[in-house]
Amino acid sequence: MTFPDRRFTRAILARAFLIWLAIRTALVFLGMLPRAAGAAEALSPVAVLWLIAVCTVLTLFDLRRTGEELFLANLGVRVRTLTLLAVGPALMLELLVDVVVL
Amino acid sequence: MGRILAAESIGKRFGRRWVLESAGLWATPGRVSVLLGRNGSGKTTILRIAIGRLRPSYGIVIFAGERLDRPRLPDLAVRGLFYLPSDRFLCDRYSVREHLAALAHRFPAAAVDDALEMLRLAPFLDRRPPTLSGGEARRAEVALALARQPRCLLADEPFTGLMPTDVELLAEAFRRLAAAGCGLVLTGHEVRPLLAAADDVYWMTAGTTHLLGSPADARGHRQFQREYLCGREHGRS
Repeated sequence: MTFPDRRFTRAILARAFLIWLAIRTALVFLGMLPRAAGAAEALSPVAVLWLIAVCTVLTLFDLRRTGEELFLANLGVRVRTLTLLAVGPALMLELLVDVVVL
Repeated sequence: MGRILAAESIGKRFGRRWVLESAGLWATPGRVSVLLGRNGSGKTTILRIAIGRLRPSYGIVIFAGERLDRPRLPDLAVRGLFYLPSDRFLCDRYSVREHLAALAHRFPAAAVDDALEMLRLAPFLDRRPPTLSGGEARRAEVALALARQPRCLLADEPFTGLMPTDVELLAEAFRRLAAAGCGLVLTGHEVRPLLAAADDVYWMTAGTTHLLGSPADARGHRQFQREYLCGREHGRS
């Protein structure tokens, strides 16, 4: 599996993190999650999977919008590699939330 | 010499409209092929089909002698193809230097210094695409292609909107790539520079592709003159 160089990788991971953060924050402000401790309990495992999927799709969409996906494709970086980078932060952070809160 | 890339008998339908019917695209090592045609004739569509960004309704793509049922740009790129789209290619958040570094990271043999010198990019290295003019951005894009030293380059409308000195610079870069054995396909409407750079001229009309031959043959093709050049003779010096 071919990964982009560090600058591109860091930028993609950072964007995936920001998208996850934005969605989590939006959920809190929309009242779908309690603002206090125990927030992770408010999301069922299925909802968490949906959230990760949405984060991934939005990150991939942004990579396409900004042209990074095409540029990286010219360097031999496949969409599945970008998907891995996009899914990573949301997955790790959801696990972290689960471990810290529960 | 055999073709490095061939898209044969390509058909593509969007809704009820057939954009391509038995069209083709060919790149031959060491030669510059120019694909001309009216807006909407399907030039970009066939390029996108050749690199797997669009699926054809029918037809086959062959790269380096291998028939690809489902071509994918990353796989083709690893094998030596480089694709420059007609719209922006550089990513706004990275400088020209960072783009070149990403290329060099992936392909350590990339001739970055030669490309920088040839396309006179040194003053713009640390600038990001939004701060570059159209010509500077296009020079940076072609520098990436030049540095990559591809076996096949597909460039969609590389001369569009550029001033003559930039056009000449890019044409020289394309000639250098061809001299190194790369097979190029260029599209566009800038007849004079395209014919000046071309070895073979293809005309896309009515959904299919016609080989007109050399630039001289193309200029002498009556139907091409009448329907595309509007009776004018382009590219004569």
